[in-house]
Amino acid sequence: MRRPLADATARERAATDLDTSFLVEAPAGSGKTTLLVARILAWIRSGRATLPEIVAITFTEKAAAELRLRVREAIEGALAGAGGAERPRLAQALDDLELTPIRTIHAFCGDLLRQRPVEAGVDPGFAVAEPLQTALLLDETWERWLEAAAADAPPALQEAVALGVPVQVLRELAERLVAERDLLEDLPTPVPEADGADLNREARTRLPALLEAAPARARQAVDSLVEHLEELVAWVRQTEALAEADQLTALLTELPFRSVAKKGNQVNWGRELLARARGELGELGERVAAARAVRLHNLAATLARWLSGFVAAYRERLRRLGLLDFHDLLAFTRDLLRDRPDVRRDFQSRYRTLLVDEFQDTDPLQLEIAFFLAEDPASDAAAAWDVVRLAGGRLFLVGDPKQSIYRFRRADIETYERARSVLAAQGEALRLATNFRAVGRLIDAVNHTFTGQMQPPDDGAYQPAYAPIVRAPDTIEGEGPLLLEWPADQAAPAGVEARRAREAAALAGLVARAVAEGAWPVRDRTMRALRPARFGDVVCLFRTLGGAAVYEDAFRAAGVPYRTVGGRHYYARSEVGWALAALTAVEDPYDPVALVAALRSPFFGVPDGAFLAHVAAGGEVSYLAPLPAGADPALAAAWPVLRELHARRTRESATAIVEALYAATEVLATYALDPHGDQRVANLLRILDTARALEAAGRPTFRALVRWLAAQDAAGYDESESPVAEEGDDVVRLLTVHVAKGLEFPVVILPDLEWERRADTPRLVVDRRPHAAALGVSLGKVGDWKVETANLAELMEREERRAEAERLRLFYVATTRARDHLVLPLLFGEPRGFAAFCAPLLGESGPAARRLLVDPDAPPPAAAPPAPVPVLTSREVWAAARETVLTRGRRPTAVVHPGAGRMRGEGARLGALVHAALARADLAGPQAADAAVAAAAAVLGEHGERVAQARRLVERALGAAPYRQAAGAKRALRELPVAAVVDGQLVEGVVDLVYETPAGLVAVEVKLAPADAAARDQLRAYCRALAAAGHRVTEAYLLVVGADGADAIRVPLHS
Amino acid sequence: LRTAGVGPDALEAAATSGGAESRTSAAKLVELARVARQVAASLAAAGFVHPTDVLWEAARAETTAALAECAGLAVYGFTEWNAAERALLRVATAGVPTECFVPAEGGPAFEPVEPLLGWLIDQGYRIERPGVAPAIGLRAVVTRLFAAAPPPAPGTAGLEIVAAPGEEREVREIARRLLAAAADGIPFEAMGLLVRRPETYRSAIRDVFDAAGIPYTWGVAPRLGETRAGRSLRLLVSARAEAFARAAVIEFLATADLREGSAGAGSPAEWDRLSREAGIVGGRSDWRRGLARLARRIEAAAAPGTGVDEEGRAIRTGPPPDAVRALGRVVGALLDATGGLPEAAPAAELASGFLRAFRRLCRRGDEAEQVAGHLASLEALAPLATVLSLEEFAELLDAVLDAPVEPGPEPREGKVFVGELHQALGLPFRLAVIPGLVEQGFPAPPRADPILLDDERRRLHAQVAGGRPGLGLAVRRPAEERLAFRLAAAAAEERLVLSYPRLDPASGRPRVPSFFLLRVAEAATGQPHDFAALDAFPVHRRIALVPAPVDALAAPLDAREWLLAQATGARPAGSAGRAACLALAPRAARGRAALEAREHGDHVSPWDGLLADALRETLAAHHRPADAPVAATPLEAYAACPFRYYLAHALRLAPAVEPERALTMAPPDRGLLLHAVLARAYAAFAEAGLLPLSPAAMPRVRPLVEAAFADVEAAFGPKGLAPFWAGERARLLADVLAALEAEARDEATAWVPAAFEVGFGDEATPVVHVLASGRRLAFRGRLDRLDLSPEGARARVIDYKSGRHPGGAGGRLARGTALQLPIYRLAAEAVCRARGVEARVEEAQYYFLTRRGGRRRLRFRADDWTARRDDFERALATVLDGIAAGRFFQNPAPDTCRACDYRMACGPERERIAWVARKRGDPVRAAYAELEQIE
Ligand code: SF4
Repeated sequence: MRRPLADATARERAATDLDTSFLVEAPAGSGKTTLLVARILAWIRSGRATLPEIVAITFTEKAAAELRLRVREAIEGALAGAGGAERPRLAQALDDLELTPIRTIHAFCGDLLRQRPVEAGVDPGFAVAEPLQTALLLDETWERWLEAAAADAPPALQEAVALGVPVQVLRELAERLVAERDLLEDLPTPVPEADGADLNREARTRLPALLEAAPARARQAVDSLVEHLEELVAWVRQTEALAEADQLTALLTELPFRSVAKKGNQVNWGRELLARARGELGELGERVAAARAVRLHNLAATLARWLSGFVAAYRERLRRLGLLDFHDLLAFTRDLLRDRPDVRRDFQSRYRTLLVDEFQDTDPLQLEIAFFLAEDPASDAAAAWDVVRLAGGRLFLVGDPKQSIYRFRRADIETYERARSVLAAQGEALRLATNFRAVGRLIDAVNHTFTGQMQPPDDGAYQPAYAPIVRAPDTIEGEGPLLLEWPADQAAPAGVEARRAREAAALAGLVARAVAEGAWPVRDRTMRALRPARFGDVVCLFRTLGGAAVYEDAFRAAGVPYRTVGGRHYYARSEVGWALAALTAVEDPYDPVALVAALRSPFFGVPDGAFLAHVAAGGEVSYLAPLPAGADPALAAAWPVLRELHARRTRESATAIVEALYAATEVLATYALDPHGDQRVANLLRILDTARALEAAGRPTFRALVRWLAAQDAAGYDESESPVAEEGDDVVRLLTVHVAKGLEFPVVILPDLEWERRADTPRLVVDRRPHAAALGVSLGKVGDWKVETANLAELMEREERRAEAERLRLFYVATTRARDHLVLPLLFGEPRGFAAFCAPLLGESGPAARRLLVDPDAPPPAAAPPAPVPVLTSREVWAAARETVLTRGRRPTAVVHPGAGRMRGEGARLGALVHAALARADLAGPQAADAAVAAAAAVLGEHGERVAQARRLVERALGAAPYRQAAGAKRALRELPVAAVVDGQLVEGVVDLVYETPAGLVAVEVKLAPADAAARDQLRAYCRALAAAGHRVTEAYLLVVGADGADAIRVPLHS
Repeated sequence: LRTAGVGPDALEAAATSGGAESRTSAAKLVELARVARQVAASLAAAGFVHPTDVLWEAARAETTAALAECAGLAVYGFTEWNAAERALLRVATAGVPTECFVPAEGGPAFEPVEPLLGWLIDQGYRIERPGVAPAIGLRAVVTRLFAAAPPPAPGTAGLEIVAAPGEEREVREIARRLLAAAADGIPFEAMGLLVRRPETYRSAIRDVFDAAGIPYTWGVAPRLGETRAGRSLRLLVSARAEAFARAAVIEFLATADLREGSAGAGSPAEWDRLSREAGIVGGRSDWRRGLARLARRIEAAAAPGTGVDEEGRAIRTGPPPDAVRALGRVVGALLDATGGLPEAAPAAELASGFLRAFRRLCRRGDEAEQVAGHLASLEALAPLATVLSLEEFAELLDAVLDAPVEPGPEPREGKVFVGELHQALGLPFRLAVIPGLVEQGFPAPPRADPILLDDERRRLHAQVAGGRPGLGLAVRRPAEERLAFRLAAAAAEERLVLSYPRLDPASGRPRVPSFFLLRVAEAATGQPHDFAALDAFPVHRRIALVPAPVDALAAPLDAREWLLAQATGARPAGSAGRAACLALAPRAARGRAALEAREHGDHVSPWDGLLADALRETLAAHHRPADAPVAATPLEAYAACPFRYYLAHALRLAPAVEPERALTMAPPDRGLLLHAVLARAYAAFAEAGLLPLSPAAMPRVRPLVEAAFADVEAAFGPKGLAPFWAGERARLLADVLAALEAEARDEATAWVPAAFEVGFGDEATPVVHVLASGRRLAFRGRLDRLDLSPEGARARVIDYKSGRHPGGAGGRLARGTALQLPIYRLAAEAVCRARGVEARVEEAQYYFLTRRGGRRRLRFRADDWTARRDDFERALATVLDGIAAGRFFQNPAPDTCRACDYRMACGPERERIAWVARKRGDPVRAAYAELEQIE
């Protein structure tokens, strides 16, 4: 019999007690998805909710898809053994699967808003702006807004520019404001500046007085205090001529006060005098500093407020385009639920229960949404989420504060803790402990590592207390973490880069050997049988992929296949850079640097000397200029290509131009022949995907593509390279801890443990404390001063503590991804970054960690010998073969006539008008033309000369023999559709005129162009179709109408 | 609502029929009723009829009479009829025997058709199910679709499920299968591509099919609004609506096919930069002023084209005149053509105004004519006097341009049919393809209609006689999607290809296949499938992510795949393989030679800036005769990076200004401005007798500086947006004044500024230096300023710098990147001699006079010269020899490259550094490498 789980009761209640709202703390590997599925199933079985009434919110699309799948499996499983009332409920649930709101929060908010667009104040047909589109819009809006808003910008802008604040910094701040736009009310306000005139005057009198007061001895000797005073006094003089306001600005932004505590020699000054001078100067310096801080605060605060105008412009642009970005989805939904209790009630009746996964990493707005939805409909509508009266069992939150790692995306652990207490007061907080994921020794090591280190701080709830995880009953013992160490008798390489390269080489070698030798046994999917690890079982988890390139190099060198998931070096790859140069050159014939870059690149392969020869021969560096005679052949080949592409670029799609560039240069072969050619080709092909994505986002032009690529490159936003391996391929994966969240892997390596980087001061620092939120603004350091709001330092300090706490949690997430093996390269013993957190593992009392010395002299693996040359196909052979296939395929089986040989343009429109008029004209005679053409013109929206022309043609047609005969015929049908299979071919079309004579039918086709063989064939085919339908056709005419009259040509019925 | 026959009365009735919880929707329904009434009244007043009303009118009129001649009526192509259609059919069939063809084979997929069948029975129709051929092969699978527990189908012949990495790749695989089918004798026109979400596939189908030569036709023609002419018209309206905001104008100019040709006279990219640089923001007068400013600058710039800045980089000194003139022309035409149009007017008036403007600005052409025709059709709205804003007019225009491009969809013959599912309804194909079978794709997620929720719709249904007026319900959407899939799958007679993008190609993130595919696998096998099992389904084919997967290698679709196939096949064979491949792709051979030499070689090659010996003469003749006087900055540039020297000085390439930079002042501009201001100011001081500056003279200095600034500004700027310019100006002015103050305070008694902007190296002032080797060198250049001591015995040279102090002590040659000061010192001696001044030149200095530069100085003194002369000569010789020999290799280093305007020509930094590192040992670099030893 299996032993019960230690947390069995909690699990049981969480799964089945539908009358209580829960917050379940589910640590890594505790099987929370199983729990979510069980609870959803319980709701269905109970009949208290149908699947469409159960909302489950997941962190990612992928998680949503997986949960849906698991729910489906669970329902199918349950259905097999169900009876009674449960059976129809489960069957219904299966039918409802597609309607189930198991979604990400953004998708779910989109659903809610689409149901209530009017009440939410959003465009009923809104679309969601994808990240690409958002980036494009931000880009465009920034330029437009800045150009428009600069006209009436506050004086602070000019002041900031004069100080040296670059425009790029303003843009960064503006984009941060967009991201935090629900908090703009909390932007710091400018404060009144104390009357600076006094301070200015005082400084101007006191500084010279202090210098005067210095004893002669001090002035004659080299004395640091006197030197400093002289410097200050000189400055006072320098600015004497300025207007008072400018003097003050200069005082506040330029006066070079330094700390005086240690300046001046007592021997020179005498003790007392020195102390007094220091004191006075220090005090003055402090007052200036205080006034400066106010000035800079005001500068930052004023500009931030001015930049909120950009936020408004961006939102307006979204609104105009009927778009909501991700932030909008949350904000509009929260506002809708908070401000419209009637709508809230309606949704409460529509959705019976709400389950939220990964609750520790949710946006604060999401939290509000969840609580409002879970409100007891019988209670009074609460005005704020934290006073909501929850309906029993309506809310089910699953999270683990130890895994809260999305601070940069607005997740806030303190908000989580508040939610926890609000919920616990009305429902219950449960805690799971069993871990089904890792082997026993890894579980022990994790507990040992974090128990002492993860502790709640005194000054806030930003770190949870560590709760140990517990082995599941049949957990195997496995191995403890593997610590990689550097041999003590070998000198460690010097420098961070060199060390990282050594570590990378050691890891790559380790993986290559372990896989080759089957040294890492891992459990298979059933978690029972053991098998040797493959490359695909191994992941390297990084904090950022910035340094991953070194590891990629090492894996390449060791012949270990790998794939970097979301690494950002796309624009740092030369093939992409060269392509950008070539595209820029095509777009702008006057950018000589781009042109030279393109020409010397592997796209054209022009040697550098050719440029000199070209210029010396009088050539211009623009392909629109003629190419002097005797040019280098590569240059001569490139010139017409670029010129042609430039001319085509506005006429054809952006993709067509890029493809044409690739084709004309055969550059894909150039790169494909390289050892890592697949990757390089994929990177080039990705430009085509980008072009298509831009096209889909409404930017179809070539220019838009070039600008987009250039802006991405210039702004240093890098992207991941085009993947060439993928999930499921047998390759080592390199990814970030954040991406690995929620996943598990047999073998986890945590490279670069010593990496540590203090983040730069962000432009906007946010304290989300409810009812006391605060924003701090920084425009960076210019010269000696930090242009920032007064609250920034304190907020930064607060932020730093939280960031540090999050770093430990990140390490927890990283270590708990491992199922069977965890590799920690602690090569050089620096207690920095994650390496510092490993200390408990190194101690004597630690659990059984294994240690392995790396071999610094291990040789690199040998390269494989080249394969024999395969048989290649020439372009001609291939093209001929393809043409044969195409010719076969093009053979029509059907004659589908109406469009065949139809004219385009002017002729087509005239033709359409004439036919439309003839179709409706009274057959009485030419005099009917006027009315018929007028009516047809009204329908087709035609006027002017074309109508007059049509009238003349219609008159002639109506006056011609066939129409006159038709007028007297027993029956005359116009625009008669025919369709019949004749000799195995389908004939389908519309006959302009068919009338009945005693002998049989007469068919007439009207042509505005001279009758050709095709027209005759067509008419004959129609006649045969009529015949096939059982009619006797006696005559057929082509009525050719033109400027000189109408000519009825009789067409023999058999060719 | 009109098609459903739901009028204002029904809306109002429904409003009162709900419970208390539906207060909001009641209000909405009442509001809708009001809107409906108003629309009807407006239409009637203007004499228009709503298209849907035609159906209702027909249903009311004596349709039977019109059909009297008909022997029978056949109705087909529907799975659902709305109220208007039902009414019409009821009337029409009253007198004529009618047969309705409804796709309803029975089974769970056909559930959405049941109501229609029920209604037909109510109308007295008899349901007849024609005998279906026994379900074998593909048909057997399709008929089992969505069955609860289907028995296994007899096989999967003709069926294939393709999992491709991304939409474009999916289309490639589809195209490959179309070609394979063509090879097997299936004509293209018997093939159909049935697309659930055409917008996702449109561009990929265009690109792939065009490249593969597969003829195809969309069931619908593209919209006029998507054509270049259509977009141009929209942008024209936007440009006017946004009061000629700069960005909007440029966008129009970049898109439209302008009559005012721009050939050879600047591209939109160039216009973009020019207009930014000129500080143009928008508005007619702003454009006119800015363009005039640009025109003045052409005249003011002494030598339009390129010059050299204080760092010795080539820069553009004046805007290119042709481009300025062309911009003036096109913008002038735009302003003239649309400037007079009102901000708001009745639609017809705006339409004729924009029609005139469009015709005047854009070239004629087929599509332009169609666009103009549709714009002209708005003139028919003359009876409507409602005044529209330009924005509203733009929306109206969008609606009008939603019309298909004539002559409508192309004929199908000989072509693959591509269309939405409903367009293909009932069309049989020997090969049918359904792409996009991915979660959230097909089935599309059921979405409630935003205006009328399901509940409200149900209440409306209750108001209308007959109960089901055909307002669709979101809850029924899944069933409808199933039906659509079932019908589409049934279109396949011989082969059915189902495909999906199994990952997002940009990120590599996997995507979840549609569960329809699970149903297909279940229908085929009779076994329940999950996604893992789907992977193992025998006809499931997973296309690898690499650019040339096996399928493409075996059957290349287009020239690109053919090329990749050869290269990929040849790659494992090493150099022999490469040679074999390049023999087939001669154009790649050049690029390959460049790539191999640059990236894999360990020698400096002709693609790394090494000029062939044969070019030496050209170099000497065109660029630098051996005995020509040399300027200092280019020499330093060579020492820093020979390749940069080559581009900047030998080729004289002037980097284009990046557009963003044009918003504000770029660093080179700042330097130019500073020099110009100081030169003018000192000339003025000298004239006013203010030199040397003294504290007492300072009150008179300030106005002179401001005047100098104003002069320079008139010729040079302003540049960029007003507040930025003002801020930069203020900053520069403050810097200059502070520097002058400091000079008056500290140096009044020590130095007398004696000469400014002193050229040297010409015949009047030759500066010649004879190296220890006996080699003679002549220098040329310009000294910013020469000072003498009051008694005239000592002299110094000052060179102004606007940037940051590089740190470090003076007297350094820094690998030959700091040759200017010693050369200036030599020059100063020559200048003194030439002017008959007996002064010992004590030092040459850089003066970093801005706040950024910390007002610090960097000096090269006379005794430095004594100590460093050998090094100086060695560095000079190395540099000059290198130039003469045409050795222009790169010398990349993060710091040098970061500030380099030629980065694009060198490839991205990380790789650039790695390539060069491999070549460090090449003997060609040896002499240059020795510069490292010169401190
Ligand atoms: S980018 Fe670097 S290597 Fe290239 S020219 Fe400039 S300085 Fe030289």
